[in-house]
Order: sequence, then C-alpha cells, then structure tokens
Amino acid sequence: MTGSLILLELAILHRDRRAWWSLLALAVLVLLAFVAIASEAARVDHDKRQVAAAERARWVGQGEKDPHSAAHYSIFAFKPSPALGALDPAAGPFVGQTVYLEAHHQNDMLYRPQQNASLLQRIGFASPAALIAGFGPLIVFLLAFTLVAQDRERGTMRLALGAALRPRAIVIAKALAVWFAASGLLVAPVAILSLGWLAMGGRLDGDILLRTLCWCAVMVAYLALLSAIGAAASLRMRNARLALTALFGLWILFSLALPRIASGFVDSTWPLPSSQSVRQQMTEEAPAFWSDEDNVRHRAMLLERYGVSRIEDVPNPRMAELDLVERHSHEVFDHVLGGFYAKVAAQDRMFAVLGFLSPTIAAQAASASVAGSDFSHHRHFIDDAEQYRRDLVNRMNADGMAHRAHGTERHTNDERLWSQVPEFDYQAPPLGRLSWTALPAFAALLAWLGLAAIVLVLASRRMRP
Amino acid sequence: MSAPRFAELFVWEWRRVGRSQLLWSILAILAASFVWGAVGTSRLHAAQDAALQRAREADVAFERSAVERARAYRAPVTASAGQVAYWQDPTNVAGYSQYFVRKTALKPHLPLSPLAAGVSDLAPSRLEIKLNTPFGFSDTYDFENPRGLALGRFDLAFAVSFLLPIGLLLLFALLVTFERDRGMLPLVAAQAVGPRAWIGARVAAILAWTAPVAVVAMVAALALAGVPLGTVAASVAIAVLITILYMLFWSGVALLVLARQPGAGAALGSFAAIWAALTIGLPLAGSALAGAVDPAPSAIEYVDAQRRTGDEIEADRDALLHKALMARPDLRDYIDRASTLDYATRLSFLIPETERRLAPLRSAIDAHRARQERVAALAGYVVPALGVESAFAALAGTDPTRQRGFERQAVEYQHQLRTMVYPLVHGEITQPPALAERATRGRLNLREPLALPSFELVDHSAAARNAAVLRFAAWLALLTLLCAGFGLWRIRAWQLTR
Repeated sequence: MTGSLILLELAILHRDRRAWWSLLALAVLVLLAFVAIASEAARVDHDKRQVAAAERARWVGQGEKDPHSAAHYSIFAFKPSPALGALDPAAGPFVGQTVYLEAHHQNDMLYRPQQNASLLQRIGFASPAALIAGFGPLIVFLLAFTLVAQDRERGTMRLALGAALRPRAIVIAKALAVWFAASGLLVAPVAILSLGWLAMGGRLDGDILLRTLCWCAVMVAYLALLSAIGAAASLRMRNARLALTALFGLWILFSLALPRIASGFVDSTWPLPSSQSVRQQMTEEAPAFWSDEDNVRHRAMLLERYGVSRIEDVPNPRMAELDLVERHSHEVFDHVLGGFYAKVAAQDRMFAVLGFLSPTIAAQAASASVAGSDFSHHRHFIDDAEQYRRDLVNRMNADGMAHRAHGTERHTNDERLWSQVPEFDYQAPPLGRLSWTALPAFAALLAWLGLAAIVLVLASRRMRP
Repeated sequence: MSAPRFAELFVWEWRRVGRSQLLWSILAILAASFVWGAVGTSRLHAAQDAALQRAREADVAFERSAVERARAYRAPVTASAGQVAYWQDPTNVAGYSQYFVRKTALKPHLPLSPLAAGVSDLAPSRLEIKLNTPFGFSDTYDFENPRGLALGRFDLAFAVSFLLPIGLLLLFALLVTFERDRGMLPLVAAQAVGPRAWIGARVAAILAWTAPVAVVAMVAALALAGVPLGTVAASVAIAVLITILYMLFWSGVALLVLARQPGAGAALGSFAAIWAALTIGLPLAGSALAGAVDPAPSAIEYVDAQRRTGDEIEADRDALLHKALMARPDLRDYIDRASTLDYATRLSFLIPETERRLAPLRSAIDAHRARQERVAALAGYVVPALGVESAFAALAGTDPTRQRGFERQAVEYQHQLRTMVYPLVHGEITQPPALAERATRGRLNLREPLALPSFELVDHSAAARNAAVLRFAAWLALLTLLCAGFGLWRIRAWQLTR
C-alpha cells in the first residue's frame, strides 16, 4: 500500500516540470562536479607518483657526501588525494600538497591548489557534497512544497485524506517520495560513479567501500531530515505562500547563512595564533642557524652528555651538535606546531558542535570526516611526513656521530646508507580513527533526523488539509 | 473614472509596503548580516595587521642583533671566544649576504578593507625576502583554518552580492503576488490602472524602502568595523552606488518574472532558479570551462623541475662558476678561485642561473594566473554577483591585482637588495684569501651590517581604484536599464487566467 502511494507521489513529482527539472539540474551538476574533481585529482596524483619516484631515485643516487648534507638534500613528500576527495574535497583545495623534508625545519605544506585561484575559480569551485549540502535543501523543499503545499492549496489533499483509511500514510508517503527522489538522483549515482572510478583506478578496498557507504548514509540521512522538515512545514503552515516563505527562509538560514556564520564565529571566538607568531616562536626556540654563543652552550651540553672534559674527546662534535640541535627542535615543533594544530582541531570540533544549529553544518562536518578530507586527516599526513623526516635526519646524524671527524675532517657515506632509508609511503588512516573532531556532527545529524521525524509525525496528526 | 498618476500610486504603495512586517524582518536580517560581515572581516584584518607589526619588530630585533654581534666579533680571539664560523659572522660579507640579509615585504590593509575579504584570507600579506631565494620569495601563506576557507568567508561583499538579492527577491515574490494568490487580481484589474503602473509602483515602493535601509546599514556596518568614513568617502560612495545599481539590476530581473503576474510559489521558484543560475551555476560552469580550456601548469612538475635544475647546477657547479667569473672583466683574473668559493658566494652566481633555467616554467605559471584573473575580471561583467565581489575587493584593496602588485614589488625589492649586496660579495673574490688563523673573532671585511632600505609598497591611488570600479558600475547600470526596460515592456496586459 505504502509502496503504491510512494510510486504515485513519485509520478506526480515527475509530472511537475519545475520541481523535477530542478532536481535533475542539481543531479547533473553533482555528477559534473564529481567528474571535474576526480579527473583533476587523477592527473595530479599521477604527477605526484611520478615525481615521488624521481625523488626516491634522486635520494638514492645523490652520490657520496656528508650524511648531514644528505639530510639537507632529503626529499619532497607528496600527499595523495583522499580516495573520496572527489565526493567531498572539503579542506583539500586549501591545504598544501607537498612538503620538503629537510634537516632543522618542519616546513609548511606547499602549493595549495586554490592558493592562486581567481575569484571566479574560488566562487565557481563546487563539489558533490557542497552542492548537496548547499542546494539539496532548496530542491527538497521545492519537491515537498510541490507534493504537499500545492496539494493543499488545490484542495486535492482534502479529497485524498477524506478517502483514506490512514491519512498519515499519505503524508509519510509524500515525504518518502521526496526522500527517494532526492537520494536516488543526488546521492546514489555519484556514489556508484565514485566506486566505479576507484575500482578502475585500483583504489577500491574494504575501508574505501565502508567510507563510501558512510558518506551515502550521511547524505541520505541529511536528505531524509530535509524531506521530513519540508513536508511538515508544508502541512502546518496556514497556506502555500507561508509554507514557501518558511521553507525558503529555512534554506537561507540552514545552508547559506549559518555555515559561514558558524565558521566565522568559531574562528573568531577561538582564534588561531598567526603563522607569523608561530614561525617566530619556532625560530627563536629552535633556530636553524644558531650563533657562536649558542655553540658555546651546545659544547657544554655535549661534554656533559658524553661525560668528557674536552670537546676533542667527542668522536664527531659537529655531528653531535647537529643531532643535539635537531632533537631539541623536535620538542619545540611538537610543542609549538602541535599546540597550533590542536587548536585547529578544536575549532573544527566546535564547528561540528554547531551542527546542532543547522543540519547543513552537521552534514558538512560529517561528510568531510568520512571522506577523509577534513583537517584531522590532513594533519595525519603532516605528522606521518614529519616522523619520516625525523627518522631520516636522525639516521643521517647517527651515521655521522658514529664516525670520528674533527676540525675540517668530514665523514662521508653513499648509496649504501641512503638506500637503507625506507621509501616514503603514506597510508591514510582507516575510517573511525580520526573521527573524534566530527563526532558532535554525527550526533547532531542523528538528533536532527529524530527531531524531523517527530515533527513530521506530529504535523501529520494535526493536519490542516 | 480617471487613472491615478504613477506618483499617487507609488505613495500609496510606499505607505502600504512600509507597514509590512516581512519587509522589516528581512531588512533587519540583512542589516545584521552586513554588520556581522564587516566586523568579522575587520577582526581578521586587525589580526593580520598585528602580525605585520610583529614582523616589523622582529626585523628590527634581528638587525639589532646582527649589529651587536658584528661589534662583538671585532674582539680578538681568546681561549674562551674563538673564531666565528663564516655563516655566523655578520662581519663577513659572504656570510652576511646569505644569513643576515632577511627583510620582510609587507602589504598593509587599506582603510576600507572591511568592505571585502577578497584574497586576504588566502594570499600572504607578508613575504620574507632573502637574497638567494629564487624569484624573490618562497611559496608561502598565513595559515587560516581550511574549513573556513572552503566554506567561504561571511563578509560584507558576500552579504551584498548573495544575501541582498535573495532578500529583495523574497520581498518581490511575496509582496507583489499577494493579490494573485488571494484571488484579488481581477478586482485590481477592474480599476483604472494598467498592470505596468501597478506592478511598477509596487516594485518601486519596495525599492524605496529597501535601498535607503541597505545603504544606511552598509555605511553603519563599515563605521562599526572601524572604517574612517571621512577619508574614504569617495570609495564608500562608489560601493554604495554599486549596491544600489545591483539592487536595481535584481529588480529588473524580478520585473521580467513578475511581468507574467505569477503566484508567490511560481515567482519564488523562478527567482530561486535565476539566482542559483547567476550566482552558482554560471561561476561553476565558467570556472570549469576556463580550467578545461586553459589548465594550470602542474605545481608538482614545478617541484620536480626545481629539484632537477638544482641537481644539474650542482653537478656543473665549478664549470658554471668558471664561466660566470670569465664573463666578468673585474673577476676574470681570479678564475682560479672558482672552485674554492664559499657557499654564500657561490649562491650569488648560481641562484641567478637557477632562475634563468626555471624562468620558462615560472613564466608559464605566472602567465596562466594572469590569464585566469583576466577571465575572472571579464566574467564579472557576465555574472554580476562576481562583478560586485570583485569591485568591492578592488575598493577594499584585497583584490588579486593589488596582491600581484605586492608580489611583483617584492621581487623587485629583492633585486634591489642584490644590486646593493652582490657587488660587495663579488668584490671579496678579488681580495687575498683569508688566513686560516686570524687575530679577531670575525673576518671584518664588512665593518657594519649594511643599512638596507625597507620594503615600501607602492599602491595605486584610491582614485585609480575607484576609476577601475566605475567601469563595472557603468556596465551594471546598462544591464539594469536593459532588464528593467525589458521587464516593463513585457508587462502589457493583465494576466487574469491561469
């Protein structure tokens, strides 16, 4: 019975040119956005793999030299695009793609794809997730308005409800029809296309399949709660004009205003220190170029560390000093940069909490998290690359310290040492490991879903056909 | 029965519209969004200005430290204070050039910056200038939470270009269609008034309330954001003019739809479709098209090219230095020293060679960026929302053009520093080699760190910025006239049947 009702409502929707074509137009935009982002990501990932291989060859083939010079030569590490980045790139276009891993420095990630974007490119950048989150409400509300409010306005709902044994079933069927239509055209095709794309690229595995399913669940839940809100508002408002005004207002509030307002509120209430002050603090506490006065302090520390009274008794004082400074810099970077990144994560968590104000915020934060493209996942790469850098530099310094050299003497090494350093091979974390910042968003999405269901049930009980 | 004059109709409508709660609710929300946008941007820029000030102070402290060390290293070598390594020695001209010339190029905000965030959240306003960084400065940025960057900033330009038309269209859709939805249109049509005058008067009445309130809210928002209105009056006036023209443009678009005298549902549906097409669809299509026709050079390949070039230059190092010295009549006689030059002196020859080899790729990247910005500027004439954002950014000084000017001047500044320091570094090649053992801690071939000039950004004048924006304003006025004229022309008869 309900199935037949849903099919009937879907047929009515299909006949309404304005609603149906709007839905189709958004569905086409979602697919086009996916193809544009996925093909660009494939091109860039191909470049990254090639240049990463060249970097490895350069590292191994750099010839005979002082190991510390090798640590300065080092490599560039490249961050692969998240597997679901074409569904929701989230932070991706605004974070660097590569980092130079050299001694003494924890460098910034460089070459943000949108760094030099023109205003047209910035305004015109849209992803499937952004389109569904931003314009899904407009379309879903339009569909709900078409099925419910216009039916009321024309008086056809009064007739249908009068003839029905269970009037609530009609209302539920209308909401379900809107949900099925929106999910079927906005979420399912792009998710299937994404899985096919990933399978063709050989990237499909259990974790990615699970992430795709979770992404679909987030988006489908979002569209479900919007369908319920749309149907309930269309039922409860005095007339179609008011219903449309309310739904239009909700779209503006939920999707256009609140996400940006919430983001600005979080960023200004819990502000980040400026990059300038972070860099300055790191330079002051762990300078890459230290003074002769620092040398004197370092020598005293080395004498203590080695338990000797003369610097000549330290096998390789230059390398020992470099190692001392390097290890100190790790503590400083962990303290300064680690604290900074923790503040970024705290901002994101607060933004996710504000998902209780707008389901769009909840959907955006949850989608970015399951797609693996939020800042938490980016930081995972930063930390992984930094750990690789530290291991590499420590290994080079250790080799130097193990060989006696004084004054202008230099110990050198070659490919035998360089090839002992493993290749940099980044593995993205599995789903769930970095979800803590987005947990409030998942909770908010569930709360909105529950609230929307309750509102729809209440509205259908107190119908005003 | 004589037909009422348009003025009488307008006054009547103006009074009636002014009593609408919806009107004042929407105007209040818009005014609040203007204030939120301007104050939020002002806070961002205040934080950035504070960072610039700290950078200035850090530069001064760094230079003071170099001077103090230079003086300290004039002291004779003792058992506890030995010779200073060349990279720690500001009295050594080569060491100084590589490790002690560190200046910062700063792009301060203009007084009207709260008008638009523009590229200020994405592009750096502070560039570290060292002599031997290829092409002026490294790729750098001030970290902003990428989530906020991806969502977009809620600034005054966003509120005006995106939210203001929505508010206006909502008012038109609900206040102009009232009679149609209540079945009263035949009664209106029975009066001695034509549809053009009736709809025109209603639209004009809505505009007569919204335009002044929007202007006052905008100016008040800027004042609350700390803009010294008196000093930027002309630019503010142009921003206000563009806002009014933009409202008139959307009113013209609304007339095109309202000419069919639809109900609220149909009007809102059409408005939403047009708004989405003009503010989202066209930019999306334009951006995708521009990217497909003219794809960006790969940044990853640029990294690869940098590394390859670095390796090639290192492999040919001595030959290149030999060639460089041979090319200089004043250094030709010291060719035998090519392979023993210190690292910093070598860089003064090798970095320009690196730049020469990477120049084609670098030029391709810069040219692509310039082309994309030209496309965006042209797109602003097709997509008014983009045009308004661009115009506001230009008035605020947060536009890409000012940013590129800043970056270009930073590169020129580095060249200026090189012309001051490199000759001293090269001059040292002609001097007898330093003794392995010396009497003083420093090398003392540079008595004091140089008094290098600070970077001073030369901006276009406010008049030039205003003039550039006025071209867009003139175009917007023309578009408005076309839309409104066509819309009014379409209102020819009452549409009483549906």
